[in-house]
Amino acid sequence: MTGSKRITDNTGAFGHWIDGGIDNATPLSFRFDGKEYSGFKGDTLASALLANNVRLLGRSFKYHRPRGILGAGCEEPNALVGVGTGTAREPNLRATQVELYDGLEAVSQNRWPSLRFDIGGALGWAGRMFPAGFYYKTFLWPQRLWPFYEGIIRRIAGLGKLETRGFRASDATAPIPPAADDCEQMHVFCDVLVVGAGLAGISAARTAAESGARVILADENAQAGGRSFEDHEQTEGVAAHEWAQSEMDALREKGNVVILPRTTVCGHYDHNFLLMLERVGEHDPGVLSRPGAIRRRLWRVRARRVILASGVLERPLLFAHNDRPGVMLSSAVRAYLRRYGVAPGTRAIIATNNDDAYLTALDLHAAGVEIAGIADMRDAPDAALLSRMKDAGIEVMAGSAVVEAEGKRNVSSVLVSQLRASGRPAIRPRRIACDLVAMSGGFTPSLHLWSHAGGTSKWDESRDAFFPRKHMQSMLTAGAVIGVEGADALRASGEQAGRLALKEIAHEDDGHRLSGARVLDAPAPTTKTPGRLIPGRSSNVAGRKHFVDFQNDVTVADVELAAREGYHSVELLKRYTTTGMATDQGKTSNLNAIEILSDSLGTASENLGTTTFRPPYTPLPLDAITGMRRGELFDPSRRTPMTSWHEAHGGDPEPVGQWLRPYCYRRGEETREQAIEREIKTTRSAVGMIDLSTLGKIEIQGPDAGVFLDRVYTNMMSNLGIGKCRYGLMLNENGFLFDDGVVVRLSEDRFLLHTTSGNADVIVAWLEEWHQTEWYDLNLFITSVGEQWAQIGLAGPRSREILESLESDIDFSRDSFAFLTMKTGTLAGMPVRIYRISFTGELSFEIATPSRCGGDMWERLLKAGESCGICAFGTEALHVMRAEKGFIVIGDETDGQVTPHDLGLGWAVSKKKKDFLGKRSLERSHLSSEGRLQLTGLFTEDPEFVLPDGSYALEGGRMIGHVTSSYWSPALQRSIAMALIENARARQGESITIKLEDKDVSAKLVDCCFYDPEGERQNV
Amino acid sequence: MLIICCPVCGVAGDEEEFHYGGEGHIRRPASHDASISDEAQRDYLYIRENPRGLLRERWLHQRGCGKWFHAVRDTVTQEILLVYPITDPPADLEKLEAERAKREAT
Amino acid sequence: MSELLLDIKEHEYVGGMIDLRLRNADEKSLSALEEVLGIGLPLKPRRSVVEGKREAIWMSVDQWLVFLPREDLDALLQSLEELRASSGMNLMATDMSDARSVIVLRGDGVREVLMKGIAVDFLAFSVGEVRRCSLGGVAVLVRCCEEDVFEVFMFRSYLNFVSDWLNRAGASAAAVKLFHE
Repeated sequence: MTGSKRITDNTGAFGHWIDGGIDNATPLSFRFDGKEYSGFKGDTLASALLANNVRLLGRSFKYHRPRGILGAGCEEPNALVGVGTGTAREPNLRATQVELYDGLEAVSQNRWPSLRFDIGGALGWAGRMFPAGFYYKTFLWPQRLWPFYEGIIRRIAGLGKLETRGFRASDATAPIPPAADDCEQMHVFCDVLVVGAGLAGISAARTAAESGARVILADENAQAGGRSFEDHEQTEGVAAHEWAQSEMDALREKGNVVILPRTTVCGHYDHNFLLMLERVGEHDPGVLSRPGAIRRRLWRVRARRVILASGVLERPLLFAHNDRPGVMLSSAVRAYLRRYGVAPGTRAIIATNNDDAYLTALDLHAAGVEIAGIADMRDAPDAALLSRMKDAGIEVMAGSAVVEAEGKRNVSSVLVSQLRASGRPAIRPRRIACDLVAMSGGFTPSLHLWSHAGGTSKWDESRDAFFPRKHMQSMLTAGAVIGVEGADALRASGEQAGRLALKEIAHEDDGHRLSGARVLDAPAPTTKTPGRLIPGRSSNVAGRKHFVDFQNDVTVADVELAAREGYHSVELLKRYTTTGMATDQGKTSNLNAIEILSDSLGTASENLGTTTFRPPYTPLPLDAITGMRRGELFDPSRRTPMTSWHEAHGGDPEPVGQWLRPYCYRRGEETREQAIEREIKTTRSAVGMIDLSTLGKIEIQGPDAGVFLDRVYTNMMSNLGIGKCRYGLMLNENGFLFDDGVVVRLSEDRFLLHTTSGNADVIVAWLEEWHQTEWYDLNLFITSVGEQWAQIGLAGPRSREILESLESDIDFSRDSFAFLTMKTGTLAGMPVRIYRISFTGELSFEIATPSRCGGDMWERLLKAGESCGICAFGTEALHVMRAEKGFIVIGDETDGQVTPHDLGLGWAVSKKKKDFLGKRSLERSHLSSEGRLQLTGLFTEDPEFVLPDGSYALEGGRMIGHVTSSYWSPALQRSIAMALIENARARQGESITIKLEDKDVSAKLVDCCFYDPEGERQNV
Repeated sequence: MLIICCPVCGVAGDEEEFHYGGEGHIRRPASHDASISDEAQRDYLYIRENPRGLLRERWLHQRGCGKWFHAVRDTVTQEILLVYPITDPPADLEKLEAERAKREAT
Repeated sequence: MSELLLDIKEHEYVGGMIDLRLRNADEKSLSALEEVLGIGLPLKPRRSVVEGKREAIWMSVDQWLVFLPREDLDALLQSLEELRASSGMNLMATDMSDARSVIVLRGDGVREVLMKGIAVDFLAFSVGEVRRCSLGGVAVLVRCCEEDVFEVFMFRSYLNFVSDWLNRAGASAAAVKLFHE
């Protein structure tokens, strides 16, 4: 029987990661593309599929070529699957990293109607018309057809699909499933973070931990040990992986060590801040079934030292059709044997340019796989190795290379050619039947994390790869990532890094500062590997594809095309061909692409350098980034002492900053419009009340408080009488209005400022900044008291009556309690500050009481007003009523480019004061010139028509202004609007045109104060 | 994600605890009427240094003690060489640069 | 509802609390102030002092929060005003008793729960230490009262949000064990 399968292991050499051993393990069942299979605990989805001889796993991105598994870890570019069902399905997961569990459901991607018979595969025939960069050259003309092209491209682009049922408008009846609430974040601070639990990493962690330092050891795999499972090494007299396991056992006992398996260190940032993604419950639905359980955790780490022991990645060889299922990375083949006890084929050919692949041959042989031969590109492989192969009966074809893989949905044979001295293949290749090609183009250090936050790399000629060079931060390196080879050497390298980390920390603790990092030198390699460029130019082999980037379907021909078209830098090459830009971030392609480019340009790789790797190392799910910040916890929401009452009484919540304020209160079947009209009519005819607790309130006290306020407001404040209120404007230093509010003088040296709800924190910060950074000689303190006071606005002709009906030591009578003054005392047994100010234009009082009394005060006022028919009114009613009076609202009538004079508020700008914030800018010619937008009221020709907020006024083809506020006015029983129009004050009575999408509307410029222009109603 | 050491309360906190205030030591022009030229006002409002290297800047410990302070940061390496009170005069950049060179030589 | 790792108690209102500001006080003035307050003020950053029923927490270089029984509040505010008027000290005392809420967290693992949302090394936090920080975007003040007892103060409008957050983070199924002896 041909194909891949689980082996029976009586040697104990295979299946180390399978729970209980291959022969004793309990089977799990899972489904792939609807078909049921079985595997074992410890398998990945990839190993289990291989064990079931499933070798076709996907269709490539552009050409829809059949693809199988290439690797065994995060470098996998082909086997991208969707795991999970319904809206819990996650697309684009690497099957090599999906841990198998009972009941797992997975689907292949990017194919229709099925993996075996995929229509998109037809594109393969048209391949020559879709070289790299074709998007830049096609679909350009005619431009009007672009929406048509876009539709097609969107349908064929992309890989995995998200399940969107329940999220589309057409599914309005289907309830939206709740988002799984199972991700969180975690902050941690440590002395040493070791990235990678291979031999070097484990050594480093152990050394660092001995001193008692806080050590974190993280590895993306479930099992520690790195490549020790695959490499046939011994250390301290035992197999290297056994040594690793016993060291891990010891580390687990230590309280100062945190071990994080299944944790990918995905990003390195300034000052040794790192992100790590831990897969907590993804692999075990049993864990996830407990309420409150976590699927993923994003660690936010601050490490004093980072030791990068991230190891190496294997490079593919570049022969024709090197992307066929059955063509795999050689060390991955070994990993499948040793970790999972799976033989990925029955007859294998090894294609290599280095010694490591020989270990693969030996392992395959021991597992009973027939070896068709080893094609070694080197002329004279190591004699000892040749001898071992001879003993095992394995043919070695020195100085030869695989030039093409044949077969359709799986490799069925390869063509092997001898290489001439020039490195080019000889003409007549040999055909060799096989169903597995284990290829190795050498190893390249995994440099991603090194370069994220400023590490640079250098080209190493002897190893044909880039190695870490310098770093601006405190990152140390150990192990294979700096070229160390051999179990004992890896351990020593880790120990050295661990000791150095401790030494540097101690040095810092002594008060020294260290900048940047040094890279430890590794010994020179024992064998030199030749270049791994294609044995033969692709342009000779029309249509035959030598793949560089498997995930984005970029071929050698594409890279050479880019070089011919003038894209001579690696950065341009990357962007033009998209090589290295897929979710695998070039793990198996970057170095090969650089070598092809350098070869095409006739320059050395070191001259080209590498692109900068960007975080994350592997894709980071959005829900890990949001963590707990979703749903109710997405943004902080704030509640006043009366919020519960609003919720219980039909309050229609509207977000205002972080507060939820009632827009209106709907009774029964009322629409919003009806509720607002009722609220306004009630308030203007009798009395209404509104929760104003969200307003910012700031107290300023000190001998220089008055002086300070004079500088911060446009008006004079230092001459405000005690117990008096004044409406003030604040400008920024550009001369533009950005806040308004009432200032109250509480005592000789104590003032209370009110700000708009949205600006409360902004104004406190503004005042503090000026006081701390510019006017620090002024003697005053600033305290934000917003949360101390609940505040209720009571407005309407009968408001005084209500207050007088409650027990109080305050005289509310008209003569005693003048407009724009304040009184303190008690009301209904609760302490109060009451301000007689009006935003509605009616007789109105704002009652401030300590927050704990807020709810009570609200209820008492309601009760007292029952006989008058009092009602609560919301923010919209307030906005309409103030608009009826022509009062401005910051953010509606202001947009950051409006001065007080534009709004007709020049009276609030002191002419006496020598200085205040914004004064100098106000004097700029532009801000006092002709033709500025000025505030005006608008009456539409059709009194029923309410202008859309923000509509534009046009005249002579020019925009001459816009609508800033627009409402239906119950008081006037017609529509009203406020607008900023050029020269409005000089044009009162004229008509202008408001241009809407579907029609033009005529409106007359009128005075802003539509209602009670004499202001009599607030003065009763 | 820088670590910033607040000179007021001594906390070494994540950048997210702080609020960036741009270039430091920009003082508001002393006289406040039209004798400040338009150019001078423009410079005060808009013109800022953008060096490749050491920059004196302001930070606010927003989620902390609430106080402003100065820092000297290397805009290339992100190293923060010095933090000092908001009321202090501008730090001597040459001196800091020299001290750093000496450190790196050892 | 998930099982909680910790005991979480909310208090919408504390007893009495004064926001106290002081600048440029000499030793004599400081003593006079502490005499009136009935408690010594912590002068080192991020420390707190407890004396009988009064507590003082360092907020900034010129700011403290002073906690005391509600019934003593008015008298203290009065005395502070008198002290200010007579001595000319740079002093401001504001009644903020209604402005902040507190959540008390109790249990082994409380530090780790806080570290799910706050970028502070609470493992290194000592009893009596306080830290102003940010939790889910909300400004909070965290204090360690006893070995496994922490108080989290916030403006009262945020109480519900912070409470929901802590209850969610404190689910025992999501427990994390960090460094320990």
